[in-house]
Parts: sequence; structure tokens; C-alpha cells
Amino acid sequence: MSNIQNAFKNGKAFIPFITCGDPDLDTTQEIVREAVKNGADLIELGIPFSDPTAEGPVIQGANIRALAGGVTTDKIFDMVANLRKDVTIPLVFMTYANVVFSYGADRFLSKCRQIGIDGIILPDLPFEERDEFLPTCRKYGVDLISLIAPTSANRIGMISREAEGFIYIVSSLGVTGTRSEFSSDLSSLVEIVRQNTSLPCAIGFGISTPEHATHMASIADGAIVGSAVIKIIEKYGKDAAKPVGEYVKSMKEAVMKANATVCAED
Amino acid sequence: MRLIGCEAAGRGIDTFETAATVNTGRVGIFHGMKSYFCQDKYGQIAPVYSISAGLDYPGVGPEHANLHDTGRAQYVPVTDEEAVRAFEYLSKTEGIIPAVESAHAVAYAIKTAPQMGKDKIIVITISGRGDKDCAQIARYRGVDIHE
Repeated sequence: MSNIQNAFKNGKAFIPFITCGDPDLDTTQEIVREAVKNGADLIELGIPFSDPTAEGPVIQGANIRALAGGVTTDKIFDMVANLRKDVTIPLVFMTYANVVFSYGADRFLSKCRQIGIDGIILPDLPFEERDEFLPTCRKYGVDLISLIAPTSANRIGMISREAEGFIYIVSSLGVTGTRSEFSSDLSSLVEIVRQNTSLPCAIGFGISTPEHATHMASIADGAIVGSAVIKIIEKYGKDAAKPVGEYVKSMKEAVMKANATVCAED
Repeated sequence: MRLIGCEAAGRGIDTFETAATVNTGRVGIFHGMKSYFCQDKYGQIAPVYSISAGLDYPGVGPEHANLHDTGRAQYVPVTDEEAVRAFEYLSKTEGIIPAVESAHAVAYAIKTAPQMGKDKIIVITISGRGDKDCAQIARYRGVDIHE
């Protein structure tokens, strides 16, 4: 069993996404530690990419700021190694296939193992092409996390059965970014996932308010939030750690409410 | 029969303002394909440049990558300046206005023809028409006109 499943042992999970190096890597470290202190169960660390095709304007902005600030894959590896001196919760990288491929999959994933990265999410890697990276992920014990979208249809079962770590359920069609409407059929999507795997699943894309988080956590095992976190970082810059911590606290409380709701129904 | 692909070198393959992917890029995975891409050491895709909007792209299709790898085709860089001169030359001498994309191929034909025997045959693919590009070529030559 991978360390990732420990993220789902404290009730419903809250998973924030942070773009590394926005506004700089020192601030990213402060934000991560503050998020951990306030109840984050797993953190997705974004390695910025020049062309982040799954991201909406908010996270695109974070990618541009981080790259303009001179962040590189190597500097992010050093930052994570430093974080791992005291941060024990599961950490996963979210980036794009070319960042891993260009670094050399073997070199990249051996480094992940060395610094304590538990999984990677590559939104531009279709399930059918994952053999490009899967053998190397397995070699180094890094989970290759699969995404399932409302359009995955008859591929949901296949993806779920082969999945590792946790399953990332995309809430609605389109790119990342806060929204008020979600796919209406998330419950039945999660149902198909549950029939095919015992792995935990978390819902992401578009979630920003505590109400969304409670709702999503009542359907799945956790909620993933990116753009809403990045908006706080964009607003407060180097002073973002405290306000992100407060936000994480409110969102962790919100997902825990879903637990209470489920118990009450039981 | 030799096959020659003409890449957009922009302001030259020794500058950052180029889109000559086979000549300056390396293998990557992007936009749903594994092929050659202009990118930096960390796989960040380069902000490429060419006078031709149709060639201002950081990658080439995997078919071209394969033709290059197997040695079946040769890929040569052609600069903006060479393409514009070829655009003007073909327009004046033949009354055929090639698209600025195709003008890259015309430019290389002009360059390579004198080195070939008189009984040899060159075929240039003119894949698009250049009337769409006239205003842009005029601006390149310093004339302030717009569509």
C-alpha cells in the first residue's frame, strides 16, 4: 500500500494544489507547511510548464509567474527534499508529460523516490499511453495517478481497475478554474469507480467554497482545490502562507462535515 | 529521388526567433504526440517565431520526425528574408504568388538549383496561395499597409 492512502485515513481528505515557485520557492515552502498545519491531507505540488493545457487562466497565471521567476525542475526537487525534513503527509507532483520525458523518466522518477514524492499526475498522458512512464513509476514505487472525467464513459471501469494511489475525478468538462456548476452525474460516476476499485477517489476542478467541498466530499473520499488556493497566493504574494492556511482550515472543516452527514444518514 | 523539407528559420537558427524544429529541437511529448519540439533543457516549450503564421509552431508532425530519423528526407532551415525574396521572385517571374509558407520551399529550390545538372528535375510543392500574405510582405519591406 502506498503512502497516498494515508491521506484518506483522517476522515474525508482535503487536497490543495500549489504551483511551485509562485511567487518563489521559499514562499511555496511556507505555504506547504502552513497547509499541513491546518489539516491538508495530501498536497499536489505543480511543476510549472510553459503550456499547461489542462489549466484555466488562474493556474496558467501561476505557471507564467513561476517560470518567469526562474523556477526549474531541479530547484523544485531541492525544495521538496527540504520540505521532507519535517513534512510527512503524502506529496504528489502534478505536471505535464514533457517535463518528465525531457528530464528523462528514469532520472525524474528516481529523484522522486529519493526526495519522498509519492505519486505523479500527468493530465496530458492518456490512459492508453501510460506505458511510456508506468514501468519506470513502478520501478521507483511512485504511483501514476489516473484521472477520470464525466466523458470517460466506458473507460471508467478499465481505468479504475488499473489505477494506483487514488483516483482523481474531474468534476466537469473543460479546464481548471472556479465554477458554480458541476456535472450532475458525479454520484453515478463515483459508483462505477467504487465497483471497480477499493482505492480512494477525490473530486477536483472548479471547487472553491466550503459548500462545494462538503458536497463533493459527501460523494467521494475527498476534495481537491487548485485555482481558489492560487487566487489567494496571487493576491497576497510572499505573505500568502497565513491566508492559505486559514482557507485550508475552513475547507478541511467543510469536508469533515460530509463525514458527519454520512454518519447521520447511517 | 531526394525529399527536402524546408523549415521556418525565422531570423536564423542561431537566434531564439526561429521555428526550425528538426534543426534546433529535440524529441518531446506535447500536443498529443511524441515528435521533435523546440524546447529548453527542462522541456519547457519555446516561444518560437516565423514570419509565416502557418509555420510559427514549436513542433513538427511525427511523419516528418520519422522521415528525418530514417534519413528519407532532409530538413533545411530557410530564413524570413530568404522566404520573402522567393515570394517576390516567383510572383514577378511567373505571376504565381506562393503562400509565405510555400515560399520557404521556393527559396531552397533557388538555392539548390545551380548546384544540380541541367537535366535534373525539381518539383516544389506550393501548398497555398500568397495573396493572403501580400500586405504582410509589404510591411516586411517597410510599406505601411494593412488588410
